[in-house]
This record gives sequence, C-alpha cells and structure tokens, in this order.
Amino acid sequence: MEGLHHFEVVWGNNQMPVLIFGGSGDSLRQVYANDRAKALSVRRGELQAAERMDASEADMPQGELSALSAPDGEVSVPVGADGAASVSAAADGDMPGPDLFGILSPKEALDLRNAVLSADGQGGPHFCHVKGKVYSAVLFDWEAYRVCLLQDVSRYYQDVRQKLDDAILANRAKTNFLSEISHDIRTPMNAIIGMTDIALMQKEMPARVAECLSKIKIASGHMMSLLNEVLDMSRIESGRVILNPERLDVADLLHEVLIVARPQADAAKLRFGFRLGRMDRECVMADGVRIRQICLNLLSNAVKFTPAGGHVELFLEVREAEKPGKVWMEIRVKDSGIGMSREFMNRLFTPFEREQTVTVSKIQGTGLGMAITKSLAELMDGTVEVESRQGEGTQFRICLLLDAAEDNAALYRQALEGKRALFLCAEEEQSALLAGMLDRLGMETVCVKNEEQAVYEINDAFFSDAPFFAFLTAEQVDGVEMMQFLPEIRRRMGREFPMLMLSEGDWSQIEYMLTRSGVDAFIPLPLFFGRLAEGLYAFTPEGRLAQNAEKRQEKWDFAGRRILLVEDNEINREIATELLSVSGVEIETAGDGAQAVERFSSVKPYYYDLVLMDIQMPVMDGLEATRRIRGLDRPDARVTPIVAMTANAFVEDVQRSRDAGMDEHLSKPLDMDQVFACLNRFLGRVRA
Amino acid sequence: MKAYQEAYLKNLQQALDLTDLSAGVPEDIRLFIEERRSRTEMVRALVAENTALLRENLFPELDDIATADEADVAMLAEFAARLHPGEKQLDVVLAYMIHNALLAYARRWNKRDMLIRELYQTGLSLFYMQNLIQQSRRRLYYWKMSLLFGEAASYIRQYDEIEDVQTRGYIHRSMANLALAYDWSSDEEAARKLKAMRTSMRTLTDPVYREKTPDLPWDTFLYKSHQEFTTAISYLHTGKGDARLVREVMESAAYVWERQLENSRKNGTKPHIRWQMEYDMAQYYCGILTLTELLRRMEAAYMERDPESYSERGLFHNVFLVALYAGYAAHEEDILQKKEQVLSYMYRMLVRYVRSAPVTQLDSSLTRHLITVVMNFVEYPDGISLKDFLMRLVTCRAPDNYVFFRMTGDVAARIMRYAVRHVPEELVGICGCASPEQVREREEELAAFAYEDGLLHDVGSLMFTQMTAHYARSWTEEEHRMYASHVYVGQRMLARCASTAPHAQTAFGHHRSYDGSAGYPEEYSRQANENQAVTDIVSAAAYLNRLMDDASPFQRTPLSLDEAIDKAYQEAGKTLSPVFARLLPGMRRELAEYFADGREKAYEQAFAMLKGE
Repeated sequence: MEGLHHFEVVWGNNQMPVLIFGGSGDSLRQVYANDRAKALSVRRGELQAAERMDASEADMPQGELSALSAPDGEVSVPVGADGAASVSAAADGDMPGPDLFGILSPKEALDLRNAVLSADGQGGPHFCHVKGKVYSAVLFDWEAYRVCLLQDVSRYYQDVRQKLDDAILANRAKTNFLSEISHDIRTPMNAIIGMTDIALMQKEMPARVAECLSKIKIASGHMMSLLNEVLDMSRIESGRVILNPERLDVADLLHEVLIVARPQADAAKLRFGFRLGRMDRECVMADGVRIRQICLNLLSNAVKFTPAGGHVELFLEVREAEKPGKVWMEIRVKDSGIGMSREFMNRLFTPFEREQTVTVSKIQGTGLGMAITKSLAELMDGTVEVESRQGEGTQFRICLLLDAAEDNAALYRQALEGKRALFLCAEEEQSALLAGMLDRLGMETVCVKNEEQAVYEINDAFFSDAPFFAFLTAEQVDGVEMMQFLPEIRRRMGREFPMLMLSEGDWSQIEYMLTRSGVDAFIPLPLFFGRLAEGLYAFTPEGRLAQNAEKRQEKWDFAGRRILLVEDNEINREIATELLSVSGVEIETAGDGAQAVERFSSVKPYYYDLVLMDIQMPVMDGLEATRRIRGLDRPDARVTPIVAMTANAFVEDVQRSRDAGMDEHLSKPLDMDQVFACLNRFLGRVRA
Repeated sequence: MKAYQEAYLKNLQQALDLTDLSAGVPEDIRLFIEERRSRTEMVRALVAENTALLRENLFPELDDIATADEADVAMLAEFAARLHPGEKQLDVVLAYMIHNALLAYARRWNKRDMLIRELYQTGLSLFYMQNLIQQSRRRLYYWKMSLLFGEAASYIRQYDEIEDVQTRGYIHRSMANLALAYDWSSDEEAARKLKAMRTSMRTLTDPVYREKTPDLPWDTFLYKSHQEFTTAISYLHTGKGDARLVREVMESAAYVWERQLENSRKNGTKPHIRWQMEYDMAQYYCGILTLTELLRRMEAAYMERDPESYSERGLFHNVFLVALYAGYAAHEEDILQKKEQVLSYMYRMLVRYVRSAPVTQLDSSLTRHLITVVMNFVEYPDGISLKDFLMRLVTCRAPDNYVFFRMTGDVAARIMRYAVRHVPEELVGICGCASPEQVREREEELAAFAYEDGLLHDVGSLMFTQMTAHYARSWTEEEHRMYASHVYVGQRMLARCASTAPHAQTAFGHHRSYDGSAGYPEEYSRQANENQAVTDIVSAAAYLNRLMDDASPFQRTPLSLDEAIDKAYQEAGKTLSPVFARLLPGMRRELAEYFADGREKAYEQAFAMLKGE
C-alpha cells in the first residue's frame, strides 16, 4: 500500500492487538478515511505471520512492544532481556521511520506504548512526543485489530502551542484585571453597606425611605457576595490563594457553619439535618476559613436549589488516615432538591457555568461557587464527588486530607479526673454520649431525667460526701420548668457551682433568659468532647487561673448607656447604684415616680436608654409614673424600656404593670446577674 | 405583729365565719339566698380590703426584704406562722411567699440558723400545698420540697459548729421531712423515700447526736418517724416491697401502737383507732392475719365509732375507715361481693354522717378523707352509684357548688335540645349516634346525658372548696396553678366507676379553650374525647353560668343574661366551640325563663337533698 511504510503491534487494554502504522499525512488520511480495509488487507499475510510469531513468543509479557516483520523486510525487532525494542523501518517523509523506532530507548518505547494504549478507546487525536517531534495518534478498529495511525504533526503542534500560550497569557491578564477591579469595587461597596446600616438605625424615618434603604441593603449585600466570589475565583486561577493551616477546632468550624446554614434553611422553609460521623480527632491543622467556605458554598447551593418543604443534610466526619498524623475530613451535603442533568454535571465545576432551566435561571448566582469549592478542595489534597438525579436531589462529598493537631485532652483530664457531674436530660442517647465523654476525662456522670431525680441525687451527694463538681442540663426536658428549677439549683448550690446547659440553637438568643436562671455557660450541640471538656475545665481551679480574672469581673459592659433608677428606699438606691456602676452604665436616680416623670420630661429625647422603676413609692407610684411617661408627647416616651422592680405579687399586679406600659419585671431583692441580663436584653451587650 | 398583719388575720377569720353557715336546713329558701348574697357582698369587701392590705404593706416589705430590719423580719415570721398554724391552713400560699422572702433575707445576710429554719418552714409550706393537690397526682412541689429539706438537712455536716438547739432540731426535722418529698407512687420513688426514712432513723437513733443535743425531743422525733414508716403500708398494698420493708413496717406499726397504748393507760383515754388499724394491716402483710380477719377487725372497729364525733379521730373512724375497708375488700373479688351489704351500709352511714356535720362548709381534713372514699368507691349493681354518692356529698358539704353544678347541667341540657333541633349534624358521633336522624330520635337521652355531664363536670373542685370559699384575698398565680389540679381530680374520681366514667372527659377538658390556645390541662386532647360535642356544650353552659354567678366572692360583678350571652358569643371559636356559642343568642328567651327562678329552684333541690328527700 502506497505510503504505508511501517506498522507495530501491541496488545491493547482488552488484549486486542493494536497495529501501529506510520505514514505520510495523505496516505494516512486516505487509509483512515477511504480505503483502510483494502489497505490493511494487503498486510493480512504479514499480520498472520506476526500473530504466529506472537504465539511463539507466548511467554513474552503482555503489552510489551513486540517484534514484527516489516513490509519491506527491513524491520527486525529483537526484544532484549531488558525489554528494549529496536524497530527499524524505511523512512519516508513525515512517517515514523527507523529514526523513530530504531533509536527508542526502552523508556521511550514504553512511553510510546503507553501513549498508544492510553489513546486506545478514548477517541482522538492524541499526541506522542518523541525525540522532539510530535505525532498524532488516531485509533480505529479493523477486523480483530485495533489500528493506530501515527502522523508527524510537529509543525502544526508548535503553531497551536504558541497560540495557546498567547491565550493563557491573555487570560491571566484578564484574571488579574478581574481580581484587581473586584478588590477595588469592594472598598466603596463596604462603604455603601456600612452607611446603609447607619441610615437604617435612624429613628422616625419616612417609611418610603426606610423601604428604599432596606432594598439597598439587600442588593448591596448580594453584590458584595458576587464580588467576593469573582475575587476568590480570580485569586485561585492566578495561584494567589495560599492556604493558611492553623490549629482548627472542628467543633468551632461546625458551630460557625451551622449558625449560618440553619437560618438559611429555616428561611427557605427547609428541614435541616445534621449528622456527626466518627470524630477520631477534633483538632486538625487546616485553613478554617477555606473549609468553612467550602461547607457554606455547598450548603447555600443546597438551600438555593431545594424547594420549600424539602430537606438539606450536613454530615461531617474526621477519621484517622492510613498515614500516621493525617486525618480525612469528610464533608457531605445532601439535599432533596431539583438535582442536575448528566450533561450539566460534566460542566459543574467550570467557572460561570449554570444549568439552563427555568427553575435555575430564577436563582441568582455567579456560577463560580462549585468551581471555587473544587479548586479549594484540590488545594487541600482533597477530592470532590457528586451524585445527582434530576428532580431527586444531589449529594456532594468532599474528602480533605489534613494534618491532625494536638488537643488539650490531657490537660483537661488532669484537672477533671475523679470529679462527678450531674446531667439532667430525658434522652438516653444524649446522656450516654455525654457520660462516655466524661468517662474519657475520668469523671463520673449521674444522669437524671427529671427535677425530682436531680434533687434526690444532689441531696444524696451531700449525705454520701461525694459532691457534684458541676450540673449539666439539656435545654429542655419534658415536664421540667427550667425557669423555675434552675434558679433553685443555683440558690441551693451557691454562686460558684458550675451550671452548664447543652444548647442546640444560637444561644445568644436564649442567653438572657438562661443566665437569668443561673446558667453559667453553654455547651453547643452537637456535642464535642473538646467543647465539653473545655467548658468544664473553665470551672476548675486550673481553668479559673487560666482565665483573666479582670475579664470575669467586667463581664458586662454598658459604657455609654444611661439609665434612670427610680427607687424610694435610699439604701436600696445606693446599693443598686454601686452594683450597676461596675458595668460602666451611667446612673441617674429619682426618689419617687413624680421625680422620675419630671426628670424624664426635662431631658432631651433618648437621653435615657432604660428606666428601672420601683412600684411601691410615696408621692407617685411606679405604675402611675410609667403611665405618665408613656403619655408624654415626645418620641422616646413609648419606646424607652421601663423595667419594674417588685417582689412576687398577684397575677393582676404583674398584669397591671404591663398594662401601665412596663416592659419587664424584676424580682426583689435584686439579683445582679438577673439585672445585668435584663439590661443586656434592652441595651445590648459588649463582653469585655 | 404589725397592725396590717393583725387586720389581715382578723379579716380572714371574719370571712371564714361569714362563709360558714349554721347547721340544719333553712326554712325559707328565698331568705337563705338573700342572706347568702349579703354575706357574699361582705366577703367581697373583705377580699378587697385584704388584697389592698397586702399590696400596700406586705408586698413592699417583701420587695425590700434585703434591707428589712430584724424586728420587721421577726414580725413577718410570726405572721407566716399564724397563717398556717400546725395543720390548719388559713393561707398557706401567703405563708409560703413570706417564708420564701425570709429565706432570701437569710441567704443575703448569711444568717445560717435562720436559713436552716426558713428552709424547713418553706419546705413545710410546700408540703401543705402539695397535700392540697395530692389527689390530682400532680407533682408540683415535690422537687422543691426535696431541695429545701435536703439543703437544711445537709447542715448536719456542720452540726458541731451550730450551737442553737432549735436549729439543730430543724436539721433533724428536715432530715426526717425529706421523706415527705417522696411518695409511694413508683418503685423509684419508694426507694428514695425508704432511703430518706432509713437515713433519718439512723441519725435519730445515733447516741452521739442525743449526747450532743440532749434537750431535743428525741422520742417525739422517733415516734413521728415510725409513724411515717407505716405509710409504707400503701406501698405493700400494691403488692410491692420486700421482706425487709415488711419487717420495718411491722416494727414501726408496733412501736407506734405500743406508744398509743402506753399513753392511753397513762391518760385514761382511748388509743387512736388509726394506729390500731395500721398495726393490724402490718400484721396482715406479715402473714399473721388473713384478709378476712383484717376486714373483720375493721368492721368491729367501725361499729365502735361515734357517729356524732367530728374530731380528727371521729373523721378517721366514720370516713377514712370506710375508704380503707373498701380498699382492702377490693383485694379479692369474692370477698368484695360478700361484703356488698357491709359496704353499702357504710356508705349510707357516711352520707348521714356528712349530712349531720355541724357546719355546711368544708373542713380540709374531712374533704381529704371524703375524696379518699370516692377514690376507693365500690359501685354494686343494686347499690348506691358513685354519681348519687358524689352529689349527696357535694350537696351536704358545698350547697353553693351543687347549685352551680345543677344549673350548669340544666343549661347544658337546654343547649343540647336546641342543638338537636337546629344542628343535629354537629352531634353525630356522640353517644354512638350515627346520623342526624338518630340524633333527633335520641333527643331525650342526649339531653339527660348533657345534664349529668354538667352536673358532674366540676366535682374535682370539691377538693378546693376551702380555697374558693375561704381565701379572703385575690389569688396569686400559684393558687391558679394549684386550682387547675381540680380537673385531674375530677377525672380520676369519675373514671373509676361505670356510672360516672362517661363523664370523666368533660371533667378533664372543660377548662381547655376550644382553639387550644389557653386554659388547661395542656395534655387534654379533643380528638381523644368521643363525646367532645357534649364537653363543648357543658363548657359553654358553665361559662355562661360562671359569668352570672353571684355566689362567689372572687367573681367580678355578675353579668346579666344578655351580657353573658354576648360575651360567650364573642368567645366563639376561641374559648368556646363556635357551633354551640353561636346557638346561645337564639336561646335568649328560653334561657331567660330558666334563669328567672333557676337558682332558687336549684337551692330548693339542694336543701331537699339535705333533708334526705
């Protein structure tokens, strides 16, 4: 056959012999396009000879470049003991000739074979680099053979390569531009967002203006997130993202993810589930910011693409890897959303790609989230897998290979070993989990299911001289009125006794109520050993020493706030003033209701942030004073919080104070923790 | 005590006198109603006065308890003691509030002896509050009692540092009273109660403590502890308890009984029948007596009663012993059948005894005993039904309550008839009616059922008659919480016998609002009540009736019928079922006719029953 000068046989992946031909461009094109059966049939006899030879070389390793006869009788391919092949063939134009096969080193021969085999069944063209030249390999099946045609395309390849390099440089310039412009736009965007917030805080704003500002706030927030994504992607593409591995507490990570993701799911009316897998290590060395970004990207996508009523689930696991000192962190996000087409899944991680469906086009986004996620995962030696079915949902699974970090378990154990804890919780699984963790600390746990059992154990501990070190409680226990029970435990056990609550929610929302009830600290759920141990350790002598004593003293900071304390009893007034002043709050006093009304009327609006009002007072009682303040014609008359200070009273008295316009009720004698918690509710708090 | 404290107590006593009616049946019902009305007005004035006294004097004192001087604190302590002297509970909730404040004072100023005393006193107030709601099986105050007694008892570790003998006494009492914070309702509770009793007993018999504080009444402490130990009989009665417990109970019962005999020999009085019975029951659980022999001894003891004695012993003999007898007879079905005549006789005598009581208002221990009888009531096919028995008791002990029940029943029956005619489809499903046609066919039966439902719906409130009739002041949140227990008691009372069981759901659910947003109990389920429409009708009738009731000193000014109907109509879909509340305006004329003399007739009926007619 004209133009075909050489062929080789190797064994394909499926043990189908592969014939490798070299030839000129035209002859190859002709063979491939028009006449290949005919051309190849000429070689049938030779092929058969080759097969016979092959059979005689049955002990030769499969897939080795085998010796073949050449059409011109010029080929001899002795295979040495080292597997080296030497092939010679007549040279002809751009076809591989003796220059090619004759000079292949064993490694080059192996590379060529691998290149051909890797092209086998993958479609073409594929390029083989040999001795500074580039050959394209095209494969097709012929009878019982697979045929591989090699063509020297060095010149064409160089041209294309040059164009590609030019394109890459241009793209890099674009990426740099995007990165810089995104960064520059963020600065004024920050100002827009900040100023909008300030404007929104203004009182007595026309409704229309408030509405416009709210819309600006939403739109600018959205724009900011788009900018951030573009910036991230451009940084990743330009290789400017450098991971910053630090000691990362998995519990912290999870907590930060959940406090963002849960409200998002709630707002979208989705059920949000969380599962914690094995937790071989709770501390790892990793870039927490980036891992959180991965989690939130996945979760916000899941929320976006799941219709109301569906569910989103997060799974997290940290397990020991095979390599010592390494762990696998596995993050799974599963949803019951709209899913993806197979076609789109192939482009899922390509920047700016979004599925083009009616549902998706209504959802805002850059199409960068998944590309960023994948890039970040790969930066962390991780993998991303995705399973999805249209209409049924999607699951992303990300595995990151991280370094394990040392934890403080030994320190905690040293301080807590031998101590006893009482745990009030009706759920056996939770009780067992907590007891198991405390057991790791060398602690004994007594689990109780209701307040009667709890009190019994407290009494019993006193009598048996085995006091409890701490009281832990679930946030809610069926049949237990926590707001009544916890203060009693606090009174009974004293101010120093640690009382901790396990809480699933964002405890800043319930902190006011529960600190008022005597709870010292919260342990977030899901329960982590490290968090629990750290929470308890803080109350040991060692833990207390480690804390800054001043900070504990200055727990509440209301500096810059001003309250009016209305109290007729001079000693009470002095005590309250002294105790309140440690928080930095400015206190002005009035001796009766009439004075309070006069004082309130005479100052400029919003002068007082809150009024603490005694009820029983001479001249004018607290109820009347409140009514009068509420009736004043000034902007703050109805909104300034007024808090009653009374003892237990009749139901109608409490109601009367509310009817008079009071916002809250504090029992006397004043418990300063309760007072501060109350002030915190109305004035906001800054923890020193 | 301060003047306002004296005045409060005086008003309290005056209110008691005004609500206590003389024995016997009035000749002229109209005069009786008039007098009742004028007394109610006087009590209303006392309620207002006492409420003001507390609001203007006591609460400011409690407000500023931290800065109170010692004289004020001492007067408060005395005032609290007068509010519930011993087992008499004039105003136990107020006493509790004061003790609680004194406790805060003691903690604030680190007054250890006072703290121990107030822990004990506050715990004891809670014990009496828990006692009031005991039959509801609600456990509102147990844990707090346990906490308070437990804290006081824990000072035993500082025993030697405490010099005051009384304070040491409070430590021992608290240790013993810790057992009061548990009951015999479950094995777990029983184990705790036993542990508390055994620990206390060990301390009381420890010669070291006696040596350290020889002036304490050790024998009394020990005697009372043995008495408490005999309460384990109720646990043995349920088939629980091991040999050790049986032995301990036997020893305690014998100890108490021997002391009783010794005292009676010394004083020339008869020993208390209660401790003889406890001793006999302990012997039964030891296998010394058979059930037949135990019952025979109870019968013999019963025949020795004084039917005119209303002392604490007389009450036990005439009332509690009947409950005890029924409870043991019910141990074996054969014996229960054989004892039909004996029990029927006892029930008849009991009604007569209650009817002849010197005052028509209720004494708390009599109420407790009567409710124990109800809770152990045995209904024989030809004997007195629980329903009749209950009505006789209510009439005898609280005629005003009976009038309210009766009028609610009457109005409920009228609403039912009206509903059968106008909205029969809404009644399908009740009492097994499968269609509106069946509803129409069974109008009489449904009206009778509604009447009885109304009559019985509030029997649980019998337990709180003292609170509703005698508390000469506004209620606190705590009292509302306690009073809510009456629906649990009512349900328990009615559910145990065939004649009353169909009405138990209404007793439980009549205070729960239709839309579930308010009222109590929260665990009441409309779906679980197959006769919910009847409960809705009774709730509407009771609501109307309450708005118009002029017998309670705590009600606001009674409304006219038109006003009451308008208010009920406004509650359609909220407090009341919209179906039945919206029927009321159409019934104005019919109801006006009924209310013209309905109250009078109900009183007539009550006094006819009192006469035994």
